[in-house]
Amino acid sequence: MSSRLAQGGMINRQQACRFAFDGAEYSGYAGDSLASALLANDVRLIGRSFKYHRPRGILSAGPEEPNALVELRSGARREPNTRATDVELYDGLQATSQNRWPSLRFDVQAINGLFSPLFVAGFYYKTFMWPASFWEKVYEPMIRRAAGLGRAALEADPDHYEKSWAHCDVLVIGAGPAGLAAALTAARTGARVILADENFALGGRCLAERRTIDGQPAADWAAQAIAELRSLPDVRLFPRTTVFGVFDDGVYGAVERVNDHLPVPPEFQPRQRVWRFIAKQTVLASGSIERPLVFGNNDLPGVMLAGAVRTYVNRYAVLPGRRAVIFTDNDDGWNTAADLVAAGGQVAAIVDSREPVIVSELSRRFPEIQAIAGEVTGARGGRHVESVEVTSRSGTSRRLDCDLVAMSGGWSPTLHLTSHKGNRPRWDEERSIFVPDMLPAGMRVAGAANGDMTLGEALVTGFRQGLTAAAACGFSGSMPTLPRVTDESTRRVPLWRVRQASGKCFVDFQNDVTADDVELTAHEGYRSIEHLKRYTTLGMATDQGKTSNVTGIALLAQQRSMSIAATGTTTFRPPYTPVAMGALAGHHRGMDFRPTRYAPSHRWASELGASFTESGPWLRAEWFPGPGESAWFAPTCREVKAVRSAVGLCDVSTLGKIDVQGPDALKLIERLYANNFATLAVGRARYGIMLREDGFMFDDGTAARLAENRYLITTTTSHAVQVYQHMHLCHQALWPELDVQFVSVTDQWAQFAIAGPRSRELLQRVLDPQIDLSNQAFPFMAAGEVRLRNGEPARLFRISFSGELAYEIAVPGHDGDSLIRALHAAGQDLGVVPYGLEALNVLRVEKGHVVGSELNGQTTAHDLGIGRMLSTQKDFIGSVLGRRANLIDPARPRLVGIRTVDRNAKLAGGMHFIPQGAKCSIEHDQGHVTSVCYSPILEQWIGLGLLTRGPERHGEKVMVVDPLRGAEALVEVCSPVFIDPEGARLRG
Amino acid sequence: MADALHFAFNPGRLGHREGAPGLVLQELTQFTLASVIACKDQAAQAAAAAQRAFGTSPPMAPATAAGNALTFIWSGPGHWLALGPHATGAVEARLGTAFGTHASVFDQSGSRVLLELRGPRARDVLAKGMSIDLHPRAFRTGDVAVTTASHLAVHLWQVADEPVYRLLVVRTWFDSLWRWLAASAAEYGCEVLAPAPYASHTA
Amino acid sequence: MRIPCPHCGPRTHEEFTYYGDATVRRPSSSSPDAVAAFYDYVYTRDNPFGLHRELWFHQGGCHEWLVVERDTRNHAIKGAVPARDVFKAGESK
Repeated sequence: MSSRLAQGGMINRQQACRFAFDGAEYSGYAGDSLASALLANDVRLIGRSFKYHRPRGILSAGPEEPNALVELRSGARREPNTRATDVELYDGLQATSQNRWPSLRFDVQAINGLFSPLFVAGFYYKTFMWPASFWEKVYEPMIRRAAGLGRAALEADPDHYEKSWAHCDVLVIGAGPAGLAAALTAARTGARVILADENFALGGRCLAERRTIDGQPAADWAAQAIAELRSLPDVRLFPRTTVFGVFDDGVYGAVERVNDHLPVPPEFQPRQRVWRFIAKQTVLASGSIERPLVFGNNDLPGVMLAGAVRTYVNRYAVLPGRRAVIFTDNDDGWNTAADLVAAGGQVAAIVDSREPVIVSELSRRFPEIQAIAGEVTGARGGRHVESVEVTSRSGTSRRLDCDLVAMSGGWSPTLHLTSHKGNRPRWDEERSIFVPDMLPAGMRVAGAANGDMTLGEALVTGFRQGLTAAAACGFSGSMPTLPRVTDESTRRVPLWRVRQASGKCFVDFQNDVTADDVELTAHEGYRSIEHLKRYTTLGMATDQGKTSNVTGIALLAQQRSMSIAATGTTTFRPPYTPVAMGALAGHHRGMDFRPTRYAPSHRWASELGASFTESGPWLRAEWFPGPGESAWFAPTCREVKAVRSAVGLCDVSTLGKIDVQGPDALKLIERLYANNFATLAVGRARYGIMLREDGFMFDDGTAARLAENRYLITTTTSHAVQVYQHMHLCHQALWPELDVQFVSVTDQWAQFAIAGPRSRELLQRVLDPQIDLSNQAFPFMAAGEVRLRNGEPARLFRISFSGELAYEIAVPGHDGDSLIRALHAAGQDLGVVPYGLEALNVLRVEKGHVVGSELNGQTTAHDLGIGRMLSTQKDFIGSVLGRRANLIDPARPRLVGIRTVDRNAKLAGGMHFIPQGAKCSIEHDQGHVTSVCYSPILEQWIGLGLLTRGPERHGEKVMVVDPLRGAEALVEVCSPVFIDPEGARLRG
Repeated sequence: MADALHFAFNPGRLGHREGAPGLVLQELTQFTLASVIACKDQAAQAAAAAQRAFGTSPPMAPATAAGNALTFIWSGPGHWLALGPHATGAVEARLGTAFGTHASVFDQSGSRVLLELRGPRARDVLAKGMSIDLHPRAFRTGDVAVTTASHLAVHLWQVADEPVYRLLVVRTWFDSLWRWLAASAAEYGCEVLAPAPYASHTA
Repeated sequence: MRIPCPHCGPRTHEEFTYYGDATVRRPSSSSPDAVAAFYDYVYTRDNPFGLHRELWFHQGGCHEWLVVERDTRNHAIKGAVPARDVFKAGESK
């Protein structure tokens, strides 16, 4: 049996779509939502409720749906908590009900309903409190299994998501009558317009109501408006696009469901796309959401919002029930009765809670419908409504058989986006609705979203707001002739709950919060609406209370004898409806989570089978495994030995490089570095340290004087960006009077270290033979321009991180690959070995050079044994605060070397220094080990550390302890320079 | 490494295969590039010096100015990138002579990758990672944006109304930029042309 | 949030790096109370509820430091000017 009407609707009856729900096969049409297709197939039971596992059906026809949440698709593409009312039907759609076990029709936890006294407001805080040890092991797992919504996919999402930006003069949110009107007037002025609507069909309630505009069906008017908009070059239409958030300065977040209406996105296309719309002006035309009425068992499948019933009848040509009872507190509910009758449905009665005089008046307008002035006190039925109890104003009760209850508690403006920037809506007592008050800059509201509920008002305010928005962007136009529409009445006398109800009266369907829960909360002393939300969970979860908030507020206000205006609303925050994390991440996941920077030698290194590691944004070679070598240990030891005995090659291009020129270059350098540079001669480089203004170490590197007024400074890899910014700050804000120019040349120069006793020999082979590399001509810390054998220019620095005779050679970035290959090839007979970060680390620990582990933001130059470098003759960044007594206290943890007493013992970074015989506790903590390595030269584990009064304690034995992993070792404190303390090698 | 070069930057068609490609991409090579930064309070004098030497005045707002042999691309206040075909002789010496004491010159020829982008969907592709407005009312031929693309610093300028864009990106970031471009252009189809030596754009 | 860069035009805040208070001025290191003055300069900050002048760096653009006037209550930005101009003028020293 089908509930599909024989004709009408905006469905394409030529295009059938087969789909499955809980494994059963059904058929619908293109243009259906999943909800309308289920209703057409007489599927009424869609899910089970959150706490009580009560049977639930379809309440609404839009994004406000609290009940009909399903899991869509399967496997890696499984998507939980999708609203059947929003899902566009497609051929092959698979949906599964959620929150039920073992099956939807028979759910063992429906028994929870019998224990419902346990699940009252605040049940989390009341029921599961004792004993405390039960929380983690018993209560939480139990609640998690019983409550909750759908299941996320456990596999990685195979689809692609992306993000994009779009700019416009006027953004129109919502393509119902008001939005279409606004887009038309704005677009006709020539303004750039974006029109977005969450639904797959543009038109909003024009598609759902039996109304005419200028004598033609509203849907036809909408189609003409859309066609006109499409014809304009600077209008972009975004169906299937939810504007979910309002951000600062006209930035709007939106998610476009590009391919959610297909089982699998076409090849190369994204599933969803997150847009950031940047709009000069915005017209919000997001419409309104109908409120349910609160009576007994109002959650039974078959109880629906009255406006949703019209949507199913008029837009989808589905009769959601054969015999309906309408329950309303306002005039609009009567339109549902009329539409049902017009579609051939049967209306048992319309029950209107207002004064009989109003009901009689309306009865004269709808003579074919039996009207009762009274209330529906309760619905009855098992898994579906079968009848309702109706009590008339005169006090008589009767039962009416029905399979559909269409309820209307009036319409609330969909004003969420007006308050994302922190503005609260205002309660309009006369119309009993919250309306937008203060608006985000540049936003205007039109139509029902502003409380202008009739079609005529929607068109007028839409036209006007579209025009004024365009005018605010500098475009002018005129108001069109207003179309003719019939009058509507929207009178309402709010009925917040039925008092003599039988059965549970739900306010928030998604969270199973009843009117009694709200009232209990008030009795327990809560008066803030924010507390009501947290205590009862009203308004939480995926629907964020779209159908329940206003009623909850009204009931709380009644109980506390406060006005609704004074009670206020909770805060609306983005997103308006849930947005998948994948869509927010877009392209940036996996390898593309963040950009990766590849050193100039990357291709060469990968051809050699290098193992790479992340170093900040860079991917750097950590070691180069030789034949038969696997783990890090063997290649690292071999590389270190090669550097100490022959020659090694290492890409050091990742160091920051900043070229500084101008008459005041030296002045800036002097103020940036803590040590003296005034005496540095042209053609020479010097190690330099930079402090922060608070006196702690900031960075270190070298500065080479390339010419009278030109310096090249290097920074650590990790601080390259910060140093560059810092230099600009110093120049632009502190000393703008300096005539100095500088720019980052990090990428201009590919730079390689050539280190080891045979480095000079190797270098000679790639340089112009005329170049003299002797100690006299090019001594330690020399710097200058040279030429390669092929005549290309290069820069050469005789600096050493390893402690060996070493050079760094730099060539323009695009020549880096060929130079590293040339060096590698030229040094084969010298035993040249490429070395990676691990060997680099061993070499520098052996030599006592500090890196990030020691330059950790908490150490001073004094701590690192380089305090004497600080100039007392000049002003530099950190010069004043760096002299504070606490920063040069000898009792501070200071840099030392350590070697294990037992040559077979191992060390680990982060171990703490504890005096021998002392208990391992915080009182005895004397600092920590910052860097460790196995030294293949010393053939034991060594390290660097920050030890209290360290330099005074060389020769002393202390314990290093790692209480987390249960490791400890006895070490001897020593100088941090393990190899060649006199520096004979690097000057050799 | 295989991962790193998931979208190998080789000539050929990527992504959607039917019809004309939405994006046509070509690397331009063999160019010289230098940062030119005016000395303190010398921007006007530097511009005049450029006018004398290269027949064009470097722009004082985000735009390009093409002279003989060189195009100046605005990069910041008093800061330009000078771009031209590869020439023998040190770029710093040539430009340094022209600018004298009015500006400092820094060779950047090895620091960047230069791309030319065209095709009916070029704007849509760029919008997937660039927050600036590329609509013809907002960004025209001759305009420059120093901005980010997929979080990476770039210079982008338009060289023809079609539109045709040129884009400079830091060399060591190029792989990440290309992965984003390739992914973003896939739905429209992307044609990578063989690299060509730099020439100033002629329509 | 969008910051109106006086050089590049309005740009999304992702292109900028925040630094902090633009109203403090680096004291003279040679004054007798230099340590106290630097202590104030480095550590002591007002936390205004309302308009505040802050230093932002246009890292993803022209590499200029800007003084941005921002309302801390709602992120409304009143304007941005080059830091060079503000600090060269030596105002509020």
